Amino acid sequence: MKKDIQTLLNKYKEGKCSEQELRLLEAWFFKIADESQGEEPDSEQIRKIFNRIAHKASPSKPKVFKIGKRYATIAASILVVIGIGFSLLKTGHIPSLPWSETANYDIAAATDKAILTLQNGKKIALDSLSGHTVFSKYGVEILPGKNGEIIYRQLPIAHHHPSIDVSAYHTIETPRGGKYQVQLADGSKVWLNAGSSLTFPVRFDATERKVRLSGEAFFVVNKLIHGPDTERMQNVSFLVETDGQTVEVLGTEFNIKNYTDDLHQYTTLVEGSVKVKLSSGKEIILRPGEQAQSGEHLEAVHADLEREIAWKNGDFVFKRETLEEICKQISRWYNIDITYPEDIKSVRFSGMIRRSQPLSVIINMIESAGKVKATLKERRLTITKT
Amino acid sequence: MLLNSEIMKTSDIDEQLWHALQLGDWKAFETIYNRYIKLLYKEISKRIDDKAVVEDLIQDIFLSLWNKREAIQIQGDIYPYLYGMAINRVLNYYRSTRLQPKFVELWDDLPEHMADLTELSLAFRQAHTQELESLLEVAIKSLPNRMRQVYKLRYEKELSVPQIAKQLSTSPNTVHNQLKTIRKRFLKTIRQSSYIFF
Repeated sequence: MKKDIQTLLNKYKEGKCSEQELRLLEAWFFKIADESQGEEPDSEQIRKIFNRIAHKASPSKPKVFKIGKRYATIAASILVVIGIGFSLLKTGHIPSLPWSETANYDIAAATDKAILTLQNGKKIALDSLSGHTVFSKYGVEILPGKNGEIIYRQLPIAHHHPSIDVSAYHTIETPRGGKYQVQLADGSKVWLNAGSSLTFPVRFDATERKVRLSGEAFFVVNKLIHGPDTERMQNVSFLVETDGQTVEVLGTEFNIKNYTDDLHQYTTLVEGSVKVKLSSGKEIILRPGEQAQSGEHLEAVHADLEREIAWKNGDFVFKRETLEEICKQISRWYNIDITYPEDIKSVRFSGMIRRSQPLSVIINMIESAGKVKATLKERRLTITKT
Repeated sequence: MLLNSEIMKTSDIDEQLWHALQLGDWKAFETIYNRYIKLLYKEISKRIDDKAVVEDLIQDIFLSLWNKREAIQIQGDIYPYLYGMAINRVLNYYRSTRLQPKFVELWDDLPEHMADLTELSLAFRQAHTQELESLLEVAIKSLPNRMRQVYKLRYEKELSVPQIAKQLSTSPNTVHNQLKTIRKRFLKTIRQSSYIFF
């Protein structure tokens, strides 16, 4: 829910706007100009204004409080990490950054990249799609969406049509350095993080919706009251299977994280209701704002939604996060390998930054805390103690 | 058909002008003014109808540029910095006077997800940075005397902690703690802006 403009203008003045709010403000600011031509000053006006300036300008040393000849290192380091990146900041006083000096290039953030595997095993690279319908079979069309995602659109079929294989499955897999979004045939949306894979039915029938996930995905699942090609009214469950766990939902928003290099699986509920079932038989029902952590045991804890869902909103959010965890996330997103000495893996950092930023910006943030140093060589990042 | 003369890029010219301005060259200041006044005036007048206000803002921008010339760092093109200043002043004007209903309507009609489609423009980032820098300026001014001394010695004179301790006849530990407090205060000032790392 966006705030009213007066509130936002006040927030802006106080430096308290989030990046989303900044972008909205900017969009509004530019849109205002669309309506108007503006005016050009004539030469008399130009001269008049300048004379007034000259009159007020003190010719000698300005009596203004100076922050300093160069903006303070603190200010610079605080501001550098304001997701701007030094190339845009264009100020010459960034504290010396050995990392950026040795690297001749930078590493871009993850892009929309995935491989779609069809029922027959054929693979299609999803980043090479153009604006046409990808595929039309099984009574389903696959179309590219507006936001770079693909959409499965289920077409009504006649009963018992012989050529329709209603049990066909597709798989979408994102590599490290990739991400993708898909809208399934029932309208449910799935955001896949880097290094993840989702296997799902091409068509959803009336009795069950089941998908299989490895890695991390955010789901917005629609309530399905009856199957698309039947007339029976019933609540159709949506099931997400991961290794040793099944999550069952009716209609809801939630995040599941199941990477092989993590100790546990994390299922975070934003809205609605989910049931998490382990293959051991243990099960738990989550309420919004809760997270199920499963491994050996199964327990529900209060979740920091801002942190858990940050990736889907395009942010990295670290709240006293260990270096180990930060490195896991970065290596998946940027597709790099990271090494660090064992004894600093639990050093903690906090911060927020857009995931769209190149690697250099995030590395500088980490280094600016003064606890570690990082060197990049090709796709290997080495972190050491300062 | 090019002659032997070098073609200078705008950003190279701007860089020379800016360098001269920082040294107090009034002529350079006048040149910068003449170079960008029309553009700036146009941009502001698209957003504010009142001519007197537009002129005031322009005046304020250039006066600010002159007064703070030693503290501002610009590399290459000067215009983005000026535009950033203009954005801040226009937004502040909107904030402190009654917004025209048509602008409020424009805001209310703006689809929320529109922001998701684009990255922040350079001009706006500039504006935002400048806004934060001025907040920091205020934060520094409001430091208690002793801390402000420590701040200046560390970040303006760039002395080391032991050197500061010696100059102020205090212990390095005390200086360390004061620097920590200063850092915390700064962060408090702009904490709610989305991009902080500490």
